[in-house]
Order: sequence, then structure tokens, then C-alpha cells
Amino acid sequence: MEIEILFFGQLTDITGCDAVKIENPGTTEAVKEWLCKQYPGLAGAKFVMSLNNQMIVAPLKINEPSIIACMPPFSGG
Amino acid sequence: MKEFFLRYQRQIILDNFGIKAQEKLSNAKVLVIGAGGLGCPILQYLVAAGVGNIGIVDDDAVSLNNLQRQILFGQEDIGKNKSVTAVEKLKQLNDLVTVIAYPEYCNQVFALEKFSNYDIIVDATDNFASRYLINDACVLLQKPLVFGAVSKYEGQVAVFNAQGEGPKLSYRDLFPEPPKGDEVMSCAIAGVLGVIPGIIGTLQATEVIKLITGIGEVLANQLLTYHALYQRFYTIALTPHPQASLFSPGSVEEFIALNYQEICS
Repeated sequence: MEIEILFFGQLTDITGCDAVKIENPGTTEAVKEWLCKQYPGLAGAKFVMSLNNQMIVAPLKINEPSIIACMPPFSGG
Repeated sequence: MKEFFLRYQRQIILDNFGIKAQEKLSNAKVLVIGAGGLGCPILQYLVAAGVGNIGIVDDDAVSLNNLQRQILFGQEDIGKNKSVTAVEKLKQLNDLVTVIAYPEYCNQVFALEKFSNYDIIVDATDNFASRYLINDACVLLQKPLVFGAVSKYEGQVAVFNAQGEGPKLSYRDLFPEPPKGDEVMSCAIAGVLGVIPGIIGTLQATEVIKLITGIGEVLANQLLTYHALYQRFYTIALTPHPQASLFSPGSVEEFIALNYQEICS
């Protein structure tokens, strides 16, 4: 089963897209590893991840269907 | 008194609003830091709505490339201080409210001296050094903070430190440490569509009005992101970050000692 990953702000400059669907790798930590491998620029980028609209601070198991969002800080005003 | 009812009639007649909410607005004190793209619509709506005491902090001058989004200002204002000019314009909009200009940079001393005089602090700045400084001051002084930020075609809104259920979270729960200087492009480099700060600033003004009057549900401990190209809103609930307190100044002394320009460059 697939999960969806959303990218916000200047992260899309790195990924070249604002969403991607992948096979569920099982945990949020595995998603992060996949992201950094697929888009090496993300490894050095600052962003928070959410799983189904709840911010993640520790690795979590991913059930389907799930949406992961990657949010960078914005500075402009 | 007749002018009061007539001026605010459209919102006084609202369900769950009435004279009570209008009086709360009249008695409220709000400090808006930054009179730029976000600050202009925030100020216009708060003054129009009748927020009784408003402070505006900005040491910057109006320039030609501001006019694309900073809608309080005109061509004749180029070169003038933003907070002073904003006060002049806003007085024409509503003389029932008091608006004060602070044409200075919001540093630690300013924050410690002035934040206590206000009920709500609004972050309408355009850089991380100011954002972290304001956030940390609000945590120390226990002030609700209405945050807004923009980038290209997108914007973010959040309410930190708000009174209510659950822990009081801050910007440091989202991002405990500031990004490095070149990690996130500013609008000066990345660009921004003029309406974006208009929309995000208006959302911030909405949250201020809700915080003051107690109507609806405030966006407390949540981060809302708006994307103009797809007219999409996406909201996430914040989680307390274990590292937030590691990087936050725990006392006034630690706050004063932090070099925000340095940690954000």
C-alpha cells in the first residue's frame, strides 16, 4: 500500500514536486531515510514532519492510508 | 457613543459578538512588530475593528519595491519611517483608537520593556533573528504570540503561548534552532506574490480578534500553511519538542546574553 508525502515551501525547490506517493516503508524514520536518499538536498534542509496532521518528534509506525507532510520554516513578511 | 455603535454596527450585530466583544476589542492592547507586507493588513483590520490600543514597531523606511504588497503606503511615503507613516494613515481610518509608533528595532531591551504593556504580540517581521527574539521574549513574559510568515506563493500562521488546554507551545517546538543564514531564502531573494502577506496578515488579524473576544477556536498549538497556487490550506497540530527548552533562554539574563543576529546568520 502507498502513502503520500507532501512538500511545502522551498522544499519543493529541492524535490521538484509538491507531492509524491511511495510504498509504505513502515516507519516515519524509514520515510526520512528514503527522502534523503531520493532527494539528497533534503538531508541538510530544516523541516518538521507530520503524520496525518500531527507533528512528529519521535519515530512512529505508519498505517495506511497516511499522509506525511514536510514543513520548512518561512522567514518572509 | 452613537458613533461607536454606528461604526462597528456590522460586527456588533453578529451572533456571539455583540457589545461585549466590541468592548473587549476597545480595551485590548496589541503590539504589532513589523509594518511591512504582513503588518499593513494586520494594522488596517485591527484599527478598523476597533482594537483600542495598538503599538507599531518598525525602524525601516518605505521603499519603492515595498509598494507591491505594503498597501498602507503610497509613492509619496518613500523614504519615510514605516511605523510613523502607518500611524498617520491609521488615524484617518479610526480616531476612536490609540495607535503609537515605535520607530526602532525590536531588540531584547525593547521587548523586555514594552511587551508587558500589551495583551497580545503579533510577529509581522521578515527575518529569523527577529522571529526567535520575539518568540523567546513571549515565552519569558508569558504573552500570546500570533505568528505569520510568507515565502513565494505560500504562508504560515500559528498562535503560540495561548491560554487554554494543553501545554503552551512556542516556535521553538517547531524549530528548536534557527536555520543557518543561507538555508532559507528571504523574500528579497526568493520573491513573494503581493497578495500572500495580505492573506496571511488578514488571517493573523482574525486570530487576534478571536483571542481578544473569545469567539471561535484559536489556532493555538497548530501550524496552518496556505498555498495560493492551489488555494489549499493544510493544518498540523504541534507536538511539544524535547529540544525546545534546550535552546530557549530560561531567564532574562540568558535572553539578554543571546546574540540573535549571530545565531541566525
